Amino acid sequence: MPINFTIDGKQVQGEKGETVLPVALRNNIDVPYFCYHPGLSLSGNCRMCLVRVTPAAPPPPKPGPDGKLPPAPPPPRSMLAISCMTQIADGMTVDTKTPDVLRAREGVMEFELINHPLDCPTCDQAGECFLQDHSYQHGRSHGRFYEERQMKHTKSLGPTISIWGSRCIVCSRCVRFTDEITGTGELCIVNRSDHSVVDVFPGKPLDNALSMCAEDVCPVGALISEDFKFKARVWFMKEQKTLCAGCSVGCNVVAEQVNEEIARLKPRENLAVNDWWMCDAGRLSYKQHALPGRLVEARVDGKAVTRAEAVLAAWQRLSAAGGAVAGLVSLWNTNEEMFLFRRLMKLLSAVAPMGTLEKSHGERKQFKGGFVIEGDRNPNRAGARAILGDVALEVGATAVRKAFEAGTVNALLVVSGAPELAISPEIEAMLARVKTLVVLDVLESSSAAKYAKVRLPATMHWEQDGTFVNVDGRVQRVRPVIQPPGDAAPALELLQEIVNRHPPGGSGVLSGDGVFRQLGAEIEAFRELTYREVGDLGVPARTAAQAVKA
Amino acid sequence: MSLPAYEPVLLKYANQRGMHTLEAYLAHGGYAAAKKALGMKPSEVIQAVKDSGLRGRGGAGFPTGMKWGFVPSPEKVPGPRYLCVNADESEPGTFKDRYIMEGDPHQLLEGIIITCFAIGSNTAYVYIRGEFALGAKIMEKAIEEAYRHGAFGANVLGSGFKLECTLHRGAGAYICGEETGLLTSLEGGRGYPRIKPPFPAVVGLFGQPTIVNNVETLANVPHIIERGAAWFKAIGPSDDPGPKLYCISGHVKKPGYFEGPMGVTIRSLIHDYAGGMIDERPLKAIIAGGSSCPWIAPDKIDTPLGFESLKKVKTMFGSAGTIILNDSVCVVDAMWNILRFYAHESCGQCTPCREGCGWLAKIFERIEKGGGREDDIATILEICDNMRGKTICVLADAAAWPVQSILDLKNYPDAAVFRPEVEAHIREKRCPLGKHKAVHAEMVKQKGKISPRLVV
Amino acid sequence: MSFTFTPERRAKLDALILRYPKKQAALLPALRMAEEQAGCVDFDAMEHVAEILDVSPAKVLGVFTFYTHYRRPGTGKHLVQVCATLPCALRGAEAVFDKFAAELGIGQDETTKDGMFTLKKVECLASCGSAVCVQVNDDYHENLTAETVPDLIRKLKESR
Repeated sequence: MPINFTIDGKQVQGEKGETVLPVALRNNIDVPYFCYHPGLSLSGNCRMCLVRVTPAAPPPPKPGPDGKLPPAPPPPRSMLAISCMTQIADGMTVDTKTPDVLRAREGVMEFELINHPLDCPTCDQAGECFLQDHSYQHGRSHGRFYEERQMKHTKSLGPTISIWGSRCIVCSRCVRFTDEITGTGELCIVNRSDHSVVDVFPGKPLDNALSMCAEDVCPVGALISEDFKFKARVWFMKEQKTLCAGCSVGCNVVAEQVNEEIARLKPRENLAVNDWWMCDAGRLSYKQHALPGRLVEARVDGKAVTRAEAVLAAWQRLSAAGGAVAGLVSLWNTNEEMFLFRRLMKLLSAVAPMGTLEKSHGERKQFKGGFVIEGDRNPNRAGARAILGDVALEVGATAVRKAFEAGTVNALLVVSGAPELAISPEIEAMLARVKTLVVLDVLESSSAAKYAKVRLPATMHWEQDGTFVNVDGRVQRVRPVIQPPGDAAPALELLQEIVNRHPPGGSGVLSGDGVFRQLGAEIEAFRELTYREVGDLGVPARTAAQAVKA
Repeated sequence: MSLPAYEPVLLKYANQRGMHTLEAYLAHGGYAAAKKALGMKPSEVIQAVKDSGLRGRGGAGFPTGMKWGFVPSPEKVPGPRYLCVNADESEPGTFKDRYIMEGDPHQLLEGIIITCFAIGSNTAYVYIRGEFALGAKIMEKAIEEAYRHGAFGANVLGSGFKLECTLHRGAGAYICGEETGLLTSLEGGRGYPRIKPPFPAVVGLFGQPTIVNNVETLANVPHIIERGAAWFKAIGPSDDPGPKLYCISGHVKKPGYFEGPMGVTIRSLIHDYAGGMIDERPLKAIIAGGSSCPWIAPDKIDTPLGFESLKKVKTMFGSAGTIILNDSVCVVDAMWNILRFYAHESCGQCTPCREGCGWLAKIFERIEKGGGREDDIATILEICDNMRGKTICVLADAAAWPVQSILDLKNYPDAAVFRPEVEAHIREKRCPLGKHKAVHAEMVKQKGKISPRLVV
Repeated sequence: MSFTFTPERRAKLDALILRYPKKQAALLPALRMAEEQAGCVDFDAMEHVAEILDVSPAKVLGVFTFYTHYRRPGTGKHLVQVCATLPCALRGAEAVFDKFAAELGIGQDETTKDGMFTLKKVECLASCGSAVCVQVNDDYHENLTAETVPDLIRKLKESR
């Protein structure tokens, strides 16, 4: 049964057990807060979300057996209460903008700031700081603290995080994070009163696979990520909503770039996938975009050529093989690319063996709060299963190799969207010996690129549009964060250009969404899906259960 | 003047040497009340305490029987119930519970048995403040004796009622005297108070219904059971009855703790019990119930000490720690001292208290040292306003009350008596009583650490 | 780890743990026992306690630093804690403290070179009726004045 009550005169609805603050936020009613975090237990210590709460009026008295009305109950007493911990109730009235509420907020803001160093000009949090935002909106215009400030420690808490203690507002979010989400409990608050500050036990640093989320939950600039420290002012960065591809979970992220360099990833809330978290390895995976030795020009037989020349050469050589063509595609390529890959392979040969390339598995880790890092370190295995089929996924690469060794294959198309794929010595040997090798790849050092006769520089998922299907069968968008380097182009485009060479020829190159719609027309798992429908948070594949079948 | 005729109840034996042993306690009829209570129905015990009008002696003065009545029935909330004895006596000016525990611990233990029986609890914890090493030793011994006597254990005094009692030593934190802070501390955490509701009677220690009672409150319980609610109600004022331990400290000749009926006047406490003012110097201010209480002026000296009577003069009875200040005291200096206490003891959880207590202390220090600013009083009052009622527990309020009581003319009439002295400090940029040298300007110059705006 | 409870203390602690429905509740008493054994609570002791009670060492550190009455490493043999809160201050706590400081040649939170005395100003000891109160280790010394301080120091020195 939904609970109906009013906030600032607006009728709102919530579920039993909810508190006022989330309901207000859901209804776009601005209530400032520091210590509240939807993913953590309630603490109620910052006092910023104070609102005026008036309980529902008691029902009017009913006449007693003697027919007389008992005295009316006293009207409910309204009081200031923190909205994050006030249970909602039918008929209650909440006011978030009464003068006393505004005064209380101003008071809390002033208290938060008296011992704060106000070092915004050198603070990495500046621009995305709750203190700054709330101070601007709810704070006083001038200070009146003429005393000596309370200083607290600045130190490293672990390999990834340091603390600027004087900025700490002791909201305890980070402590709750290590207690409740990672279960590792490295953080604590030491001392009391205005000496309170976050710390670790000596010799037990904050060092777990999710440690950098502690910086995310810090609403101010107290916890600072060593990776991002002094790197960029946040207001110069451009944001893009995309995915982490580090494992098959597909954590939703915001990637931010400055000058075509990705500066950092931050987890993006998605309750169906990663809640508010992501692992450190995934967060630092953006560094791959800047690996040295990116492919930046097309080559045919070792000679630099234009993209069009290389595309033509690719088509000519593959089609010249007379159907003795096989293909390998990486599990880091998007659904759209896999789909085009499949189409091209079909055009080239009725029986073309297809296989997949992938990164080696790692350890699966589950945390106290439920967050999981999957052992499968490839983002699109489920997509490959849906598009290429179980056979290609499970035994495809072996089949390709056997066909090559049996002499039924003498041309090979390799499409890769990531560095550091695990290539077995047998596959490597095949790459070295196959007569025709057309490669779409990203790094010069990759085995495929090394032996390629026709080599087209492709993109990583940071540089392109597309979709992945995660381990739970959820179709999610990746979006371009930065421009591809040099002449590199998404396999999405390159594969279409190659396909266009097929008689009668064509010149159209569809966008990601265009290919996705075609995919939806052909493959059940994506039936009638569009990018708009997939949106920022993704949708379950139509055949989710089948898609994730082990 | 003479002392009112009164036969001590709580301290009848506590002040005699060697009365802390079980043997002595039994010799004067100890544990008879517990036996009597165990033969009653729990609801009858609660009713007797309700009828007596006993109010909590820990500070808030909440009716004890009513509090016990809040424990939900086992059908509603199954699982264990707990009694936590608040022996974390730490309100400046208060030092009564200590003497009960050191002098007559079995009286408290008997109260624990009766209370646990009434609220259906089989487990009691006595949370004693860390500094009371002697009290802890004596209590530990007494609990051991009580176990041996069969007053605790699987079959309390042969009644079949089961009760385990454990002494739990704190480690130096005023906030653990706040009932929910005590619970968090007892569970092995930082003594952070919890948000109410839910109240401990419903969700308390380890998430179970819990009653937290002060030592003196519980020490009264056996007497109520033994002699009846009517006897209790006849002591002192009928709306606020019972025997009471008074603590008096500060500028009196014989400071200490005394037992009397509720409602002894401040004058009587000073002159009859405590031998009058030191050197007969004039009274300057009265802190009636412990350092959190709003100050009152000397003209309130005839106010009876009680929860209701002191409310009428805009202060509180608190934990009955009366502090007497004579004319040698500098108001600013004394307030700075009080605020230092709260700044030191704030648990640091809620922003207004964590930051506000320290800020107030720093302002009073500055004023005392000759750095007062014209806008200080307005700032102080606004800080108090921003602290009061904005936090999880009342420590912030406790720090703000005394400050407001000397400055806030609108809400505290007696502020008119104290405020001029603060104003004089600010105007003259020094302490008129010369308690501290006016070193502020020099400090600013030398240290340069203080906010540079101050220098301008 | 260089701190381990003696078997007797460990047995006592194990028995105490059983008196609470949750192990962690024995944290304050456990730290107290460590203090009794080693004369102070150091990081090793905290880690040992954390292990016994199944909590993270950080949790123990947070709790330890919240409470002011545990003896920190480096505390002298006699921990002199002068109550400086209002009721004692009214009766001359400042003078008593200053006398201690002068006699011992140390200031707030300092320890004498011979490791005999540590001097601290503390908040209310609940002995306001017998002010000035000074707690030396476990013992309360009440009704002190600046004049009686040297005598107390002498007694403490003799008690070694």
